[in-house]
Amino acid sequence: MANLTQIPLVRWLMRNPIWGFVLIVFIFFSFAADNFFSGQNVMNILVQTSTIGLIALGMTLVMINGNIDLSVGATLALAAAFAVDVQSWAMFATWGNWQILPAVCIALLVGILMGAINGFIVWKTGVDAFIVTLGAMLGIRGLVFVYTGEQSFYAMNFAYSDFSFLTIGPFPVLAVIFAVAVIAVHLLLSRTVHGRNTYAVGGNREAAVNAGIRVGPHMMVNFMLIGFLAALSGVLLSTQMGAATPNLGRDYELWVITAVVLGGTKLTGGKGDIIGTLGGVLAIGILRNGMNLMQVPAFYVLVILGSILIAVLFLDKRFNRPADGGLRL
Amino acid sequence: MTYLISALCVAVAAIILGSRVMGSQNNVGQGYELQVLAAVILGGTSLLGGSGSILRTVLGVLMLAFIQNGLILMGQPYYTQWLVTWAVIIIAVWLDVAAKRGRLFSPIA
Repeated sequence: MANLTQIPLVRWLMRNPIWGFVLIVFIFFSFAADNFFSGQNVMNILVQTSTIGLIALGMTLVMINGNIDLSVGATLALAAAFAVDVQSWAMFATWGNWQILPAVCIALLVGILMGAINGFIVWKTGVDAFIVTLGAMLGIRGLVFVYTGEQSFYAMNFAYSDFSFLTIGPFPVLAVIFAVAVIAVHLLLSRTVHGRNTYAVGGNREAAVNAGIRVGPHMMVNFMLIGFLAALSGVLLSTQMGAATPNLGRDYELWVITAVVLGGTKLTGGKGDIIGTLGGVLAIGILRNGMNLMQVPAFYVLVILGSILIAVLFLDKRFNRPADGGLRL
Repeated sequence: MTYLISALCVAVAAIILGSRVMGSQNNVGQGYELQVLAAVILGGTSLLGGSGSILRTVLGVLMLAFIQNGLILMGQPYYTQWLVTWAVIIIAVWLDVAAKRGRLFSPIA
């Protein structure tokens, strides 16, 4: 064991155990499921995980801050409804394919606005983010129903619903957008002042205040970021379906939080990174995809994923010493 | 033990609901977690533990039920009650927190 820990890859895996798990399930399904090990399927997994993955990036920031956002599923549905509906507004009727541009912009702005509302309430009232966003989850879902009037919207412009089939070289455009977002948020978190402040605020809020960080606006920016990413994810999801339903994105917050926690981010804040979150998202994506290919019924998949989450949290508590932050073997 | 009691209450609620609608589906109760949490928080129970009482929780449940029933009697669509619940939860908890710290707005810069 002693010389095994000298190998850089092993040391890296000990710091990010979720990637070991990703590797294991990937190899397992490559043998267990036909059709799993192919370039086409790997692309499929990337496209399927991009929806939850984009939100998980924002959730990582918010959770490192020691907050949580339960309203992302509703924000996603609201943004998707705007993105599909605004295209068919009469004022953009003569714009041709350009009518997609204002639609997507408005949808993203709506997402940022919802995040800003959440962040502002957390900042000014000092109420726990869990309660604020729990209320917002109900309330924004109510806004979705008010806006859509319980109807589904369908995209009349086929350029919109064809967007998700575009590819850049061999890569689907949705996977490319996800990859760009991963790199951008990773750089934001590890290379900028804002990223360092994120850890500081989550690690010890009092100390962050004393160090002169404007904690309130800082948290509000992170809430706006997750609102933006949830809206982006809603737009991309509605391009995949060519439609927006008022019940879109229900329970997504739970999937996202599961992925982020699997990736090693602490619910209490101060610890976590994008590499871990990416691992968590991929682990869930591979498990869902692989079990689908093995024709495991969907409700067993939920049971298995729940058990894995509890097992991972247990092992994490058992093996992770707070002092060195690595897996103890 | 606490979880056992909670599960027992869930089972009783399920039997009552089942007898009211005379049937069951596998996704009955989806979204109930949030309404329940909202009612308990409205009753003043702390999320961090250590404070709260059953009488207050009953008041919280009744308050949410009044709002829902009243809005439907006023002829509003059922999703308006979600919007009202949003505002009610945040304002109620805000006032609670503000009373504890002695000032309305959070001192965080």
